Formats: sequence, C-alpha cells, structure tokens
Amino acid sequence: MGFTDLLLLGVAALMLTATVIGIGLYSLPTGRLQLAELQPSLRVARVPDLPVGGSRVVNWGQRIILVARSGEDQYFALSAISPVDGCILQWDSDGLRVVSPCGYVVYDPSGNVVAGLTNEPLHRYGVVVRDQVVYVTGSYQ
Amino acid sequence: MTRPLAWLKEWLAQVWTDLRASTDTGVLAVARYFGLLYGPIDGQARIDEALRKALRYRLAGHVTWRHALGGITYLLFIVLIVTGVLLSFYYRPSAQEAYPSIQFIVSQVPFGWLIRDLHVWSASLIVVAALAHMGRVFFDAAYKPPRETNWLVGLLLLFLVLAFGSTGYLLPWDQWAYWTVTEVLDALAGLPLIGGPVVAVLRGDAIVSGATLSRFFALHVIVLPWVALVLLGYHFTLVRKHGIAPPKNEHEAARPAVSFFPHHLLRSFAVSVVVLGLAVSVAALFPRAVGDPANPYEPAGELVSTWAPVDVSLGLIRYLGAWGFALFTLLGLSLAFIPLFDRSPERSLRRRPVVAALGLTFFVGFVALWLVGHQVRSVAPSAKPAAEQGAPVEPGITLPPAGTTPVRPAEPATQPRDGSP
Repeated sequence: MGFTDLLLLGVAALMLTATVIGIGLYSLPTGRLQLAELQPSLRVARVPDLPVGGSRVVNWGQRIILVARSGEDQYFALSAISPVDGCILQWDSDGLRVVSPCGYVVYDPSGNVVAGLTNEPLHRYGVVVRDQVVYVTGSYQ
Repeated sequence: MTRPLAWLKEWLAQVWTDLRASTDTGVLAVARYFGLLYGPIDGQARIDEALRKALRYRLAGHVTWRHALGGITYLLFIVLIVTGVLLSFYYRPSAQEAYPSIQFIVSQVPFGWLIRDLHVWSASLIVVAALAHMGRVFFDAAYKPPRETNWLVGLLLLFLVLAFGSTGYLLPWDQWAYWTVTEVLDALAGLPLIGGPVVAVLRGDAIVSGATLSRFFALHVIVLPWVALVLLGYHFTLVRKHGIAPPKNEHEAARPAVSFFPHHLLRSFAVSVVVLGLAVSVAALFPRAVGDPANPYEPAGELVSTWAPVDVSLGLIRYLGAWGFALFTLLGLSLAFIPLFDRSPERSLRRRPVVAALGLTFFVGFVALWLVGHQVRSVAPSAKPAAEQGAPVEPGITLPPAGTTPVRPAEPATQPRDGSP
C-alpha cells in the first residue's frame, strides 16, 4: 500500500469518524423540549419543597396559577391573577385565605369571594400528588 | 498494534466469505439501481467476481469533470436525506411546536445548528447543481434520441427538488416562511381552473395554518421521498441502458477510456470531498437565521428569503403577477418537449437557434429573477392578516376579534413564594 493509498484511506476514515461522532452526539438526547401549554399537567414542586402553609406561583403557558399547601394532605390551585386589579394573588397561610396585595379582595381556598368589590370566583385547577411530586392538572375534579 | 489489525483483517475476510456464500448478485444490482455501481452485473457469476467485473468496467474517455454535476446533485440529495432524518428526530410538525422545536435544535442539541444549516444550504446548492447538470445536458444536446425519456425524468426530478424545497420552506414556521408561503399560495389560487383546487388541497384551510403545516410535512417527508426514489432509480437505469451521450467531436472521442475503479471512483471521491467541504463551510459561516414565530394576525415587518427558487417566485409574482409565475413555470415544463421536435443528430448549439433561445431564456431568466426577487424585502401590500379574512387559524378554533393580538406564551417558570429554596 503506497503513500497515496494510505493518505486516501486516512482522509476517508477521518471523514467517517467525524460524521459518526457528530451524528452520535446529535442523536443522544441531552434535554427535552417541553411546551408548558401543551402538557396535560404541570410539575410544581417536590412535596418536601412545599411545606404546609407554603405556596408557589407557576406559569402554565399563558396561565398563572397559585398552588398552596393548606394542610398535610391538602393542596389547592387557583388562578393567580386577581380579576379585580390584575395583581398576582398571595396565600395567607395564617388566615387560610388568598388575598390581593393591591386592593381589598379576599378569597377562600376554594376560590370563592369572601370579601371585596367582586362576586367573580377564581378559576380552580386540580392538584395531584404522585411519587412525592405535586402536579397541577387542567381541570378541577 | 499488529495483533488487533491482524484480527480485524481476519474478521473482515470472514465477513466477506460469509457474504459471498450467502448472497447472490442481487445486492450488487440494488447498488447499481441506486447509481453506486456503473458496470453491468453478471448474474451468473459469484458476487465477488461480479463485483470485480463491474469495477473493471471502462467509461468512455470523454467522461470528464463536467459529467460530475449529476453526481454532485445526487450527493447533495443524500446529504439532504441524512440531515433530514436527523432533523426529524427533534422536529415537531404542529403549529404550536414547530418553531420552538427548531429553536431547540439550533440552540440545545449538539451539532443541531450544523445539521440544520447543512440541510438548508444543501437545499440551495442542490438547485444550483441540478440546474447546472440540466444545462450541461441541454447545451451538449444529450437529450436527443434515444435519451429523451431520461431528459423527461431528469426534468421531473428538478421539479421534485423544487417541490421538496417548497414544502420544506414552511416547516420552520417563522414569519418569513409563513408570509412567503401565503403570498405564493395566494398567487397560485388566482390562476383559473387549477389554481383554486390545487391551493385548497395544499393549504387544507382558509389560510396557511397548522393544517397546511401538517400537509407540507407529510409531502416533504413521506410522499416526495418515495416519488424521488422511483424517479432516481429509473433515471440511473436509463443512464446505464443508453450510456453517456457520445462525444461531440473527434477530439473528445480520441481520449482513452478510463476504468470505473479506481479512476472514476477516485474522481467522484475528490468531487464529493470538495462539495461536502463547501456545504459544511457555508453552513458554518452563513447560518440561516430564524425569524419571529409565525403570526397569522400580523404580517412580517421584513421578509427574508433563504432559498433561490423563493426569490425567483417572489420576483415573478411581484413584477409579473400570477400569470408571469404560471408562464415561467410553463416555460420550464415546455423544455420537456424539446426532444420531440429537436430530433436531428445536430448537436452544435449554433445550429439549434430555436432550442438554444428557449433554453437560454429559461436559464438566464432564472438567474435574473433570482437577483430581482432577492431584493424583495417586505410582505406584499395585499397580504391580509388572518383576523381580516375571518378564517380560523386551526380547524375548530375560532379567531379572537380583529385587533387583538394573542400574547406569546411565557416561558414556564416557578417562583417560590414561601422562601423555600
């Protein structure tokens, strides 16, 4: 085998190796594309990361949701936007109520109006705990 | 070091022995069908002898670098298949997911940007290579009997390449693609008789929507590849059957024949390395940007074309109207009929003035329209946002009233509200 043949084989082998490595790296999944608005449920937090009395505000596509843990096995999820003033609602764990920081409007954990200049309840979402992870689902059951 | 090499050599020899014992020459016939072997396959011989015979085949001496254009087109087609399959690992053909999946490919997946830009650039280069190949055949008069069927098949393959690019152009689902496809389909719909039904089938909806994307994707990855497979196989079969067109003059005829292996194969390899190097280089140096996500409610502020035939189409539609588009397409199609009336053995271009004028009009017109169309940088003034057309973006989903622009969904994020990490 002469020098030219070796050179040719080397070039071919180099091209083949680079292609195989490139395709291999490309094909191995490194991450996942997830579009929140298209998922059947949204992961909120692990149970230990959401203590009793704690809450999270999560984005689910265009929806903004307040998820709170009101008891050891009690969770609720409500639309986090106040229909009165547009502010993000807050969970008051001491008073067991949801309040707006911008104006006087109060809801109970079921989303019903307790006080304030509105009679429009908050949209309610389902909450599921599976394998020690809290998820919000599309509809309340 | 020598032991593993010796083992590898022994193992390869064993594989070859097994292959020889268990396979007939049909394998070689398949390779020949797809243009990878040139010489005839001896069906009576053992596979190794048949391969040796096929490799020893000698090509006419006038087969030179000019004849590599068809091979370059085929190589780019293979590149497009490989990169297309790789892109389909991550691409999601729906109106909601198409744009984010392209962003994911170019920004998150290792070498995703290279695979995607190689696909985009190969799609442009294959048009140039196919036209150059066609031009070579045309001006060499290689379409004359008995090769007229292959000329027709080649022309169909050119239109197939254009169909591949046209259906693939919408898939990024950005503003540039959306409004370009909208404009071209609107122009096509304006043609009498066939325009409306063809566009209705292609669009699948009142406007370009998720339904259109699904149809374009299905055509791009399922229908057209099968058609290409059949046409390519037939194209190669006819090349083998009739051989390369004879030399045009005595000077070419006097050249000594060259063997398929190693001379022709080595020449093909060199051309392949150069073409692949060029494609990878332009893909790395000039990546195709991604526009804003497609928004049927608001025409794109700026239109950026990334494919030569799109420039040609926009040039035709803007400056000559839908009829100009139709007439230029007919001019291209009319080239298929040239072998029907140009049947004399005369191959000199000067003695074929009508044919030469027809061909030159097409090729020069293509280049001129490419340059003119590339100057088009804005959406047609006649383009109407979806809300003004009162059409649903997706079947079954009604549009919000005119004037309201949907907010792009925010990135999913969690915000701790209780001070926990």
